[in-house]
Formats: sequence, C-alpha cells, structure tokens
Amino acid sequence: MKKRVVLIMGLAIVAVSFQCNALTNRGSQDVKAGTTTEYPEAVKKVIDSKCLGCHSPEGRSDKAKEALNWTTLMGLEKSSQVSKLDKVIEVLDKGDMPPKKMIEMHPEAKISEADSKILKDWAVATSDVLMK
Amino acid sequence: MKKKLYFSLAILIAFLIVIQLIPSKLPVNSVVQLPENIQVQNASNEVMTILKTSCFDCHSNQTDYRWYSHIVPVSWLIARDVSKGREALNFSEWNTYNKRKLVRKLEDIKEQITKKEMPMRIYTLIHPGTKLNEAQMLLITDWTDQETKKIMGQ
Repeated sequence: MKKRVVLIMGLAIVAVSFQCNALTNRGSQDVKAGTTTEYPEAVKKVIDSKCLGCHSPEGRSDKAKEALNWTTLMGLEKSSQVSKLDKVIEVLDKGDMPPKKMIEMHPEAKISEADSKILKDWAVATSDVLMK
Repeated sequence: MKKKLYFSLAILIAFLIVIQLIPSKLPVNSVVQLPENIQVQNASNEVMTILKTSCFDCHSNQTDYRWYSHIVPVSWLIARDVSKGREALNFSEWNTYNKRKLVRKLEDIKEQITKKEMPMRIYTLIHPGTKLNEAQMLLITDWTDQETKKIMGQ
C-alpha cells in the first residue's frame, strides 16, 4: 500500500515537472535567438515571434517540427528549401497558420497582415533565387 | 429469435435505402479535358501510363467512378478521398502550377512513392493492377528527380 502511494506521488511529481518545463520553454521562444540568425532582421522577428514556438527543435508539437523546422531550413537541399517555402506561402495565403486553435487560446499569436506579407515576400524572393 | 433477426435485417435494409437519398457530393469530372489530354510536362509514355492507371482516379479531374462509387456510404468515403486527393495534387492542373509549386509537388510525389504511402492500400486492394512494382516506382522517382533538377537549373 505504502509503495503504491509513493509510486503515485513520484509519478505526480514527474508530471508536474514536465508541465513546468513546457511552460518555461513556451516563454523562452524569444530567448532562443541565434538559431534563426541567417534570416534578415525583419523576417527573423516574425519567425521568432509567430512560428518558432512550434516550428523549432524546442517546439511543442512533433507534427509541426517534422513539417518545418526554421532553425535547419537553410541547411536543407535547395529543392527541399523551395518546397518548404512554397508551403509557407500557401499556409499564409490561406490564413491557416498560426492554427486557429492556437489563436483562440493565445490571441497574441495571430500574425498581422503586414507580418504575413514580410514573410511571404521574403519566401517568394528566396525561392526565386534558389531556382536560378 | 428468427423473427427478431428478420426484423433487424429489414430495419438495416430500410436504413440503407433511406440514406441513399443523402447526396454524396462526388467531385465533378471535367467534361472538357479527357484523361488522354492531360499533359504532364516531360513525363514519358511509361510514366504517363503509371500516372493514369494508379493516380488519376484521385489526382485528376477525370475520376473513373465505378458503379459502387454512387452507393452511400461508400460514396461518402470516395467523395472525401477524391476531393482531398485533388486538393493535394491535381494532374489536370499540373500545367498551371508555378515552378515553386512544381518543385514541391515533385518532392511530395517522390516521398509518397518511396514510403509506399501512395497509391493508398485500400485503393490498390479494390483496384487490381494499380499497385506499383519496384520498376514502376523507379520510373516515377527518376522522372521526379530529373524534373526537379531541370527546374532548379542544376
């Protein structure tokens, strides 16, 4: 009986520490500067504040990380970079990112028209250069 | 006991008949562009044959709707798969894709074929002869590689 209680308490402590860890990571997305330094300043600002929370190694969702990781994007094969950039442009055009659910919970996560344009224009120009 | 069974069967049949009235919304085929007129840039005849046989049903505006495609609830599943398929990749619209989109679609095709995720298992089970063998897979991936290189100017 005692063993069981100790085990449950142990599990509870682990669960709580995981939660705390997740919370700290959430807040640290801006501190992770340097991982996206290869992007122009204006673009980096948008990526860091609107995308990196999910699309980075420290991101919250595995699905998002697998789909796009901004910190390694520029190291991919040129054709894969173009491919990812095309997807970025598409989701911004459709207004699919950041996801609606995310915006419902964190309204500040919404990307403004101006920021979306900065990111899109850069993605178009970059892929044009890559395809030359 | 037997009576109960007959009754349940009758209810089931009645239910199946009634749900036939619900529209299934199968994506409409193009009446202008026939499958033989779909042009996929630089695809050899062999590649075109594979695409037509194994891909066009979901990835073109020329789906060959078989008799069962119109029977609810099968039609709901087909309607969903075809509309999702056309949205993800549509060979009828291949020539309207810009260079950037082509690179992405080619990469997606290669990935799906290599991972054997396409054609879908449920599709190849019902449609014999649509499953790709190793040689056919190689033909497709060679074509995607060459096309990508061309577009990338390499």
